[in-house]
Amino acid sequence: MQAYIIRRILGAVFVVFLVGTFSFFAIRVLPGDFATASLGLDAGSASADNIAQRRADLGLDKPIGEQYANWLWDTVRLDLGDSFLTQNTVWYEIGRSLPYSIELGVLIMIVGFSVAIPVGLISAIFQDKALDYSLRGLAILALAAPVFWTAAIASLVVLQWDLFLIDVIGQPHLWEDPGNAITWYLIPMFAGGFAGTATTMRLLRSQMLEVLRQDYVRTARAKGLRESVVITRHALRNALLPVLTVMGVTIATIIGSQVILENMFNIPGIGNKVLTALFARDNPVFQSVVLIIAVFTVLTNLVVDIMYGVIDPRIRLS
Amino acid sequence: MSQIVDPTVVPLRDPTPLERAGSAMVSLGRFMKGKPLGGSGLVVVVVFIAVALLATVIQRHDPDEIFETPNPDYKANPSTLELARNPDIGSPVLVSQFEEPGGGHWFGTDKFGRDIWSQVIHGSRLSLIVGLGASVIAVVGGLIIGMISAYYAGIVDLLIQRIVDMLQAIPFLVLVLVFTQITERSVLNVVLWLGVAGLAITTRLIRSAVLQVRESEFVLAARVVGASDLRIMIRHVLPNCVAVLIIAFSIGIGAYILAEASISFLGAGPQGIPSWGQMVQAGRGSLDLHPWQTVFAGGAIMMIVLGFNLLGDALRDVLDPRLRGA
Amino acid sequence: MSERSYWQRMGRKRMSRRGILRASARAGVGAAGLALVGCGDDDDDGQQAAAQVQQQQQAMQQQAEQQAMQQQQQQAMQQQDQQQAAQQAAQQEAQEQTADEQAEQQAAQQQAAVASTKKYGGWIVEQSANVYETYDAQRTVASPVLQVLARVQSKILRFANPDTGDLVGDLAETWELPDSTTVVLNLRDGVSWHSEGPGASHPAAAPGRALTTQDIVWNIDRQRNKLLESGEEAGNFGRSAYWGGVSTIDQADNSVTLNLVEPDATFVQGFANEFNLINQPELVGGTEDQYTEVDASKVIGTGPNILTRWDPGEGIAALRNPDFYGNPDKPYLDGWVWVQTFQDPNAYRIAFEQKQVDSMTDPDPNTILAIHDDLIDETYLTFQGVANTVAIFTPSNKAPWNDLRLTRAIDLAINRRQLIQQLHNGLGKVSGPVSWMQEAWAISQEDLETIPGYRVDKDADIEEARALWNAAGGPELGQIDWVTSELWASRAAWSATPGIIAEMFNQAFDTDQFNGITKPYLEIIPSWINKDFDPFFSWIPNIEIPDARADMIGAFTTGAGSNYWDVSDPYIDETLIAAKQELDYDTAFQMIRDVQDYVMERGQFGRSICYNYIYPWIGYNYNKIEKKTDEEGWNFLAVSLQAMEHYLDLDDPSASDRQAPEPTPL
Repeated sequence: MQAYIIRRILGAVFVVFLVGTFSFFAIRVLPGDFATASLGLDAGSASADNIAQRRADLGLDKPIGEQYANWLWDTVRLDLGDSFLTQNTVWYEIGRSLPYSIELGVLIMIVGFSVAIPVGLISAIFQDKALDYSLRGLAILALAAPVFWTAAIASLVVLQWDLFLIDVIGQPHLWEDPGNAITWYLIPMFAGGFAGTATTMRLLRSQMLEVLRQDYVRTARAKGLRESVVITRHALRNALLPVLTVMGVTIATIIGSQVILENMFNIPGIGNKVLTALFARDNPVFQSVVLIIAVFTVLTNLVVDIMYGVIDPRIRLS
Repeated sequence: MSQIVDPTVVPLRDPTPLERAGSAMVSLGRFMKGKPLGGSGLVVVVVFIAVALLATVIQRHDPDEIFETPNPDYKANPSTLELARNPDIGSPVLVSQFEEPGGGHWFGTDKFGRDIWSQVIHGSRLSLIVGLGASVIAVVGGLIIGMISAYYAGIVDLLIQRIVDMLQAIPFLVLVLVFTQITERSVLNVVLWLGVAGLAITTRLIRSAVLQVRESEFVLAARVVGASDLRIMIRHVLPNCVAVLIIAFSIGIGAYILAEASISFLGAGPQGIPSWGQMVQAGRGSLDLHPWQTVFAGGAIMMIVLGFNLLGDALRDVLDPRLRGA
Repeated sequence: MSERSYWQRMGRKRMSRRGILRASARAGVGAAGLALVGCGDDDDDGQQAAAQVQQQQQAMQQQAEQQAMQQQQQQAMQQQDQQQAAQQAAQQEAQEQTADEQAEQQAAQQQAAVASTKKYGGWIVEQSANVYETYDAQRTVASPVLQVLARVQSKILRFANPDTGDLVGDLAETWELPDSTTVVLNLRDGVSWHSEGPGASHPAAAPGRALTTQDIVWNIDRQRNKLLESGEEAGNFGRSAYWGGVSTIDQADNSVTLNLVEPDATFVQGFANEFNLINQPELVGGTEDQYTEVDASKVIGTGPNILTRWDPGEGIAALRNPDFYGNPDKPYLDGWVWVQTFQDPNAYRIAFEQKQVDSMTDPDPNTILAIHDDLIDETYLTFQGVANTVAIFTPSNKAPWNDLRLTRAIDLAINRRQLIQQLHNGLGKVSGPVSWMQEAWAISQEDLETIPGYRVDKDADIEEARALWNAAGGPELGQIDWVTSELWASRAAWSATPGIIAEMFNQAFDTDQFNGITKPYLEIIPSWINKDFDPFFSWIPNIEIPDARADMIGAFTTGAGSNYWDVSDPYIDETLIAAKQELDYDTAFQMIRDVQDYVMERGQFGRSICYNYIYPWIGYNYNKIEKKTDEEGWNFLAVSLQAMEHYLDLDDPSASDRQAPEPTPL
């Protein structure tokens, strides 16, 4: 068991290293750099000297190998550097934006699961019945709508009828100002919730179908247990386990939709940061934020795997 | 197709092409009846494919054509104030922007005086190319990598699996945004990069299927007989993975279409071709006054993704060995 | 046809007839628009029909009222004109008065007239940029930096009227031009550096110290020599070329004398360029090794505001300077708050409609007009030209475009008026080589109409263009990728631009060779500097001052900084240099006009200026910006003017449910 856990942890560390290397080179392979990106149109009045000076200030003139070695050594020492864009340390930027993303992410998950679980459950129980089709049809319809589209239309409706305040400037945390925070998150959490859990719903349905055919379910029914008990106590619990295994993927999907939603609602979260940093070629922020997201998903996967290994000894061997 | 073959009767000879077509029709009919959601998904997909193929026939107008009318109120040398009061005054011709849906323009016209109907029609081409193309690349690539990974276990497998893990640890949208910015954003490049970004999922699916098949008795038997690796792969493993391949192919399409729409929405999509995501973005500025462009383009994205998702779900239900025969 | 919102039909509460009336007037149908009022609803029933009649009557009444009001305004304006004429006559009598004194007098009169109506107090919340490369205004060319600093720091002179270039004293109270190469600056008394705020508490700063002639000399020397305090040379002094025009500097008691390298009639206006801010030597010199670390504590100035917060990506704030020189009663506002840029127009709109920011702009006039219709009783519109000229660049410095027939064919084929229509809802005016915004130097719109490329009869242009294109072998060029900047295409309203540009040329030349693509400025601009660029359409860098001569010299003289096409023409060189030295406006104007005509006959050498558009700005009624006229704002940057004149009327009903965040006190 111990060997298995160590093996998994080593694997996870290696994956994080790969992600870091990937994002380090990816942002540098892209055309342009911060020296020119930050000037935008004003670069037209900049001389070549001007840009070269800027590049030297940012350390972008060093050979890529040297930059990589520096980055690696700094990252190992947990020094993520300073943002080109804001000149704050990257740790500060992450510390500031991560809570927003976690808040929104959790809200999205709550919405997503409270849609996906009942729909997946009901449509499995009433497989191929009218209820299955209509519920699943509706859910899939909602899942198929692009988040940016639903969010744009929803926010327009809110503005037109003056429904509630979307506090895009105050940017309140849930624990600071719950009332304003929740209305601010309301549209993105529903738009993201519908889109982020498509996989969960489908997986749950097919798992439920499989579990419901298992012998132990049949036995439970034969014992004369009520159907509701059979489903919640026996079937759902077992069907949910595989859903948990894809948790890492689900989180990655949710973060993906957060990229657009945070942008649309001025939520200064991780998704917003990664997009801004990518377009502005803010190398330190981009590579670190991608790294943080990766650590997050890899860690989730690791925990799930290890727990699974504990539960199911067969997995350790594979 | 008048001849109907009773599928319960096992033919003693090889079926003729006609019979084969007939039986295909029957299984199609059975599929539609047994999986009404999947059936309606199939219909949606077929309709979109037809629309894309026949785009130039049903477009009614060129999607790039700009409609304009002479301006009777034209005034030379307007002051800023006059322009502010009546912005149209400064141009001898008026672009027919934001026309309502009607007989002339079924879906109205956009800000640039172009026909929205033909734009939406042509947008289906990009979505289909992107969805199907990226999925083909992801499946073919995933098949090759997955088979290599599963067959030559050990260090190769380990490395490939970690790279797959790496790709999956980065949000898909971010991955696609990074990839597509590397090269010029032609349709072909975008399709290619979407496929590459999708490799992680297909590789993983196919690898586990190959692993399963590899342990089966007939592969062991073939190995005992002394068949080469390549032969075992092509003759024995591959045919037994077809179901997984079809599933892997069908479930990704919707996601690729959405990803393309998203990057187009962010202004980083393929260039020089009408794109629904870009149309949603373009129409958003005046959504409350002129909602049509955004509504129609967004609706089209939703419909095509819905179609592929429904079809994919149903195909999986039918093909997934674990559920087969249920 | 009616501009009424679909969402309004579904039962909006904030509906207003006036909005509909204005909207239909905007639609350019005049009286016909009136008939449309009330026809927005397709589903008729008796009641609605009756309501429509009523609406129509009311609308007509209102239009009559509006007309009456306009007449009144016109009368008032005429009266004003007469008054001004009288004033001018009186002023001409007093011959010894210098120009700046006159202007100042006028300003004082205007001030007296409005002083009673302007109110003190409150703070403004606006959107700002979120990329600031430095806090040192001299070591950058990035305009966002200036937007912040021009409220905090001062210039030698400033514009009383940014659009005409009328100057008044700023740090220099008066100035003299004894001969064509000498400028004498007489410094203002009683100017001191800020004594409060984060910058004042910086260990390197000299808070509360009086401004000296040495400060001015230090600032000029630093930029013209491109030297840092450490003795190192720095490549990024943004205005070094301008200040390089100074050969020697003499200091006297309270005056500074600049001797110019060569006669330059455009030099004095440059003092008022919003970019030419004066730093405090102690603070900027003492922190120059960390000049990229933007922070309010490294900024001190002499201007109307004190910077209290500068956290890029989060927020910026400035408070009133309690002892602002010379104008003890300015500025009117207690402070400014800038919130970071909204990445998405959706967020900006939400913030504005919910009164979290006090004003809004958007590249798409439709958005602003739609919001104005929604909030017709609470907001007003102002229109201003955008100093980023829109242009098409053809790489005429290399094959195949070095065939001037091709370049000219492109120039002729540009359908400028159609582009203004499509992209800017008609809000814009075509520009010749000199932008219309530089009104004193531009070719009039009437004249432009007869010049090929700008003709109203576009078919004639296109016919000529096609002939040139075919004659020069255009059809054999294969596929031509035409670049639109990504920044431009990333604006939702303009996202279809690459296709529009390609289609424009394809139609003109009856071909399908043209293909629209986008590239970011970070690729485009270096390619200009390296003179290896693709055909291009988008904004080009700002025009900074109303005098057009410097821009023309920069673009067309041999070896000049923005001459990306390698234009080298003795006639142009000679005429432009002569124009720069010419003190008589009429003569200089004619020279510039001659060069413009010469250039346009040659397809503008590939630098095909298209137009400058006008964008609508929307603000709540309580937010009183300084405007040029009732509906027009300043076309040029007017940051320092706004810093002094902008005020808030929080008694206005529109301020009732304002949600603006407060700035942190000093």
